[in-house]
Amino acid sequence: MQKTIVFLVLTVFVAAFAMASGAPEAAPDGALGGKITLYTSETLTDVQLYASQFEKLNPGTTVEIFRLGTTELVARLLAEQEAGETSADVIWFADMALFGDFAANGDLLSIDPPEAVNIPAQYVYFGGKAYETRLIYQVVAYNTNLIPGGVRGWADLIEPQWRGKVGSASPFSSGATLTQAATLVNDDRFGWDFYEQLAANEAVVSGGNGGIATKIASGEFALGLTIDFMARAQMAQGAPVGYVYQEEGSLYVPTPIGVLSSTGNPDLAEAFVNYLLSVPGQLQQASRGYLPVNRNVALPEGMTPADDIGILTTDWEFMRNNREEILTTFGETFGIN
Amino acid sequence: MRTSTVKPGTVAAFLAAAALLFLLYIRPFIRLGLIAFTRDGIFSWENLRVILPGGSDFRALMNSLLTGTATTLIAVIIAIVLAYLLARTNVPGARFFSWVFVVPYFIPPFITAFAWTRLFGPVGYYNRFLVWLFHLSEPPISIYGAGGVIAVSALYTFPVAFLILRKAMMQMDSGLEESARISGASGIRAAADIGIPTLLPSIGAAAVIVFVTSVSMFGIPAILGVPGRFVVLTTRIYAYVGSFGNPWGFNIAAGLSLVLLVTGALGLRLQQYFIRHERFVTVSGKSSAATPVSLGRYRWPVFAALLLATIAGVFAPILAILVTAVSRALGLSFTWNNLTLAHFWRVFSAMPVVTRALGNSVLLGVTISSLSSAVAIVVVFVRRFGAQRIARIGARLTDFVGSVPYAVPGMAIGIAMIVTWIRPVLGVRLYNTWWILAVAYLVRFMIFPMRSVDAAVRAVDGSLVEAARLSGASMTRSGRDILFPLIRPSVVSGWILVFMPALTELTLSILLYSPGNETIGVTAYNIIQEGLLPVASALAIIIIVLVLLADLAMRRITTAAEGL
Amino acid sequence: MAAISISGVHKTYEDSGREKNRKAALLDVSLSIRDREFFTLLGPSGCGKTTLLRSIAGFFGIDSGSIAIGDRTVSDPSTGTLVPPEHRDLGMVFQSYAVWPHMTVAENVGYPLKIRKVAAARIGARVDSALRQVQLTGLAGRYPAQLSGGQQQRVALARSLVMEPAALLLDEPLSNLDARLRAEMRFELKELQQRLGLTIVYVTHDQEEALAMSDRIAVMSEGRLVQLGTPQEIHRQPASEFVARFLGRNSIITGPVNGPEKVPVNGPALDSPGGRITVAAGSGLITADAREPERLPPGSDAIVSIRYTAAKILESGAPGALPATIRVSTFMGDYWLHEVELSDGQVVIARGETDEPSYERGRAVALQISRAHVFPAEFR
Repeated sequence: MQKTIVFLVLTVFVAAFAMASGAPEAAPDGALGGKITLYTSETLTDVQLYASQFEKLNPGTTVEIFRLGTTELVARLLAEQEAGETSADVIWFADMALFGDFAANGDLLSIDPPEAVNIPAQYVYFGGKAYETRLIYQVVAYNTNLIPGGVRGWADLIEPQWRGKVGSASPFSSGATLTQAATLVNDDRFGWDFYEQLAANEAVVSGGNGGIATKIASGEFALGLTIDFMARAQMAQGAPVGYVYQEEGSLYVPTPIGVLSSTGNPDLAEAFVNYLLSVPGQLQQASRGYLPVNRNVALPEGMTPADDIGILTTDWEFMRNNREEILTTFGETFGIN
Repeated sequence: MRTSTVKPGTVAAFLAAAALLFLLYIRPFIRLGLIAFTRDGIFSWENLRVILPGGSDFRALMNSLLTGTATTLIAVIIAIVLAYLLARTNVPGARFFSWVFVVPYFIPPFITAFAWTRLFGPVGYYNRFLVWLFHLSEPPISIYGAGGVIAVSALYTFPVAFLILRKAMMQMDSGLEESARISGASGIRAAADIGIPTLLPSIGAAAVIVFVTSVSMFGIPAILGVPGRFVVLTTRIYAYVGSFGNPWGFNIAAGLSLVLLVTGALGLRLQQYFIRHERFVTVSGKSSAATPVSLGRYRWPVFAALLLATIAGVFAPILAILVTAVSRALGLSFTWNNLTLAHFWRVFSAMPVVTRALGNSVLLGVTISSLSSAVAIVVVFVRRFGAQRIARIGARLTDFVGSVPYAVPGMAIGIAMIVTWIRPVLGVRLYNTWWILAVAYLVRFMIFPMRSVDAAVRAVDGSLVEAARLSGASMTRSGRDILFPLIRPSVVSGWILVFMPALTELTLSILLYSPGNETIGVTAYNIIQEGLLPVASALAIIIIVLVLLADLAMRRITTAAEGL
Repeated sequence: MAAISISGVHKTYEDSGREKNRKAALLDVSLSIRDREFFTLLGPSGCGKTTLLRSIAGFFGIDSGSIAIGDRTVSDPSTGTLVPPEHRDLGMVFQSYAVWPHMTVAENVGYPLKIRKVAAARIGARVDSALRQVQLTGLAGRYPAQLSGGQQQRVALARSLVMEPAALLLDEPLSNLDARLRAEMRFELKELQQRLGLTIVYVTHDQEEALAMSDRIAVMSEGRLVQLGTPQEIHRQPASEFVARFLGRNSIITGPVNGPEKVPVNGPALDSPGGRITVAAGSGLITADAREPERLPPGSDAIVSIRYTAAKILESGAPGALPATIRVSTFMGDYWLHEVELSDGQVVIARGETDEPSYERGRAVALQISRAHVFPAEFR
């Protein structure tokens, strides 16, 4: 019996040891090395591709990915900062208003990646504290088997004939959808009325935009709101999906990426951002269906140039000041708190 | 011989153990209560007001109670029928069915929920079949909402009730029902008049377990309830903690956790009441061998029905996930072209978060299982054979304190952990580390090996150890040489009994994990919620395979030991 | 009350998945139980007595043969008849009594009447009457947990009697009682049976019990009926070595047959249907009764069964006695049990009176056998 107890206790110690020895190493002078942790709301499989490629090009580096929906991610980030310590080095999610806060508070590091000169100035945020590496829009996608004639825009979502077959992400998970809510309620053409009609049309609100795209492909939804690259990804696999940039104006979803000033490895962090802005990084993102921002990268076929996409205007101050109310009202409207 | 001299070393050990117990088991729940009843340090009812009528979470409370009640009713009825068929009648394949109907309990509930969306989601296979069969325009059954949550919860929990009732039926004196039949009652009448009342304590105990379990679950309502706008206490707790915007989120979450905790505590008391009354079920003395009730000409139809239930209820969900896991994309027709193993490949090689999570989960599982088993052995042995009284008291205390969390729902433990360890305690920072998961798992799971080992020690005839004593061995020596080898199979099965749920655990992990410290349950859940269904399916299949392997291993070990 | 007739009953265990017992449980068993008879099925565990009892009760069917209660056939596979237990009009007392713990004594006893939809007013009177028959008046309102084992058993008895069944089945009802209570209950059961004129089928492994209570006994072994007779017949003339051994305190001696013997033995000459045979054993001859002497030709192997009461220890050298040595003597209170070894090593148990001297181990003595039974070696 003693042998068993000794064995068990030994296992515990070995385990504890293994845990303790997983500490991050600092980068040696000169070469890039060590580890950075990326907090992001990007699609896990996509961002995994970029990270793996980056690691391959820079042997000895690790990019650890922590992925959650924007709202949940932000909650965790803020809670960690409140508790005094966060393991995030690089942050990348769709909440422009929060990035603004961070920039103002000095939480973001001012970086100057060499590739920044190749992107339009409008995508360099807060004087270099955050960057846009690719463009996404929230569009209306539809199942081509169920709606062969296609759709036109926001108005289709509240069409009674699609009652119960409309899907949308939840602003409690998706920063894009939160941005959408902040944008539409501020727009006279829509306001909260639009959401009430959407709720009356029995729209299903849950999870993230990726799930909506999948469910449109499977036919669970006839149409819904999702991100353009997700719809494109489905189509690339041969799924019966189509999408439009809304005729009333599509929703531009800024998704900044920035480096936290509390990072332990600023060089590696900046290098990663640079990679995403560089041609290979841009090509990778384009291959996943995103619109590239680097001037030296040609727009892939089938993608509409940014200039040709009509968008709605988002008031970031408004979103920043009314975040809680927007969430509460949205929750009440759709009964999901 | 029990000595009266008290060694200072033992006293020190006792004090250290008591301090550790307090720190790990008692303090968190005190803090939970404090946080629940204060805002910014000042006493307040506001956190609990949300569950009162008119409050924002009153609906969640009602829904939780509804889920608990409905699930219990359905699960217990299914369990009674199945236990009766498999324990008391001559239906063929009883042993096979007894194993297969327990499988739903091994599979993590959130994966089961996910599986059923593949069958009864709007384009689920069963729905599509029904639409085709009856020429419907709409899929008839929606898995999202109260119905889905209740049905899948019942599916997950009925095996527990089934096992309890099956054991009770097998132990019940068959003469009780047979004498009713001789007295003139038909088989059904005898079962109703005599069988059920005799089994009432066991039914009560089973019902309580099902109720508390279903109210405490997170995965199923998160996946099936929220999209159908059916919120329950656990999903609300998660929402308060997981999103910002409400400055009192933690406090309210603590308040809701207290409600869950009270439910669990009440349940435990009820269960103890029922178990005490179970005394009159097994009659002293030999009872006649139970003759299986003959089903006569219904024998094979019942078998067919059970087989159908097995295929449709146990195998089909797993199959549905498998199909999604090997499909290139959803919405494509089911042809050879559209099949691929790429998702499995991706899970294994292209998703570091998965391998990381798997490593974390295995590490956690192994550590906690081993630690719990070691503690259990020491506690049980010291409690029964300890030389010094203070040692025995210490062991009894550990046993008692360690058992309490059994009744506490996982979410409540999670919240208690957060509010306790969010700030460093005595210089030790646990929040956001692997250690907070380890501590939470320990609190949650330690009771299982303790019960296992204790039951095993009780089952060993005391005279075996006494014979060793007479042969000259000391108390400790005879414990080691005689008792321990006899209970070793129970120790191993107790180890696996902790390892399996620890491996796939979600409710605690979802609250306490941090970047780099994801568990496999959390990772799978997040991928499901993100909507990457094929990848999620591949991961789910891997988890199911792992769990079934562990179950097989455990059966092999326990049956080998029992010489079945 | 009625007679029960069992004809050519054959039963193998069903393969229920739990018990793969392919041994036959009952092999061609035939017997008739007379009306108002106390009939016992006696045998070691596994002999089939409980199986037979349960077949009579109707808890399962038989593979072939037939069972009839009175003039009603209740089990007969050839005609597809299988009357369920609730319709066989039998009473049964189980080994565990099976008194329902959640009902009072009155509710227990009244249950068969309730099932038969007897008017509530009349149930009370009949319950009282049944309780009086088993001497449990006054306990009608108690719960079984408040009763002793013996009292619980009487409740079970009263419950079986209240519906005035065609016959009463008892499955080792006394084995859970302590020795003293058991002895008492034997008398009571027998008295009850005779007073009420009950037909009783009683199952036990205790031969003392069977001999004490029964009108007739059926000895069973491995699914077969081995001997059927009155207690006296079985005791005096066991039909095979198995029966002899089972009855206990019978010494078994083997040896070749010497020849038929017409010389009267020492001791009272009792009727011996058949004839007398001498068997060579222990450097002497033993004269024994044979039921079928023609099956024991000289030289054939024989088995002799000697009851301990028919074996007596005499001083060494006594005429007509076999030389033997004492192995061990045990004082039993009312008598001595002497275990002696014959010259060929075989062991016999003999009885000695209390006032006889005790013998130490190794003492040479002589063994006088006044009565013995012999059967052919294949009659094991």
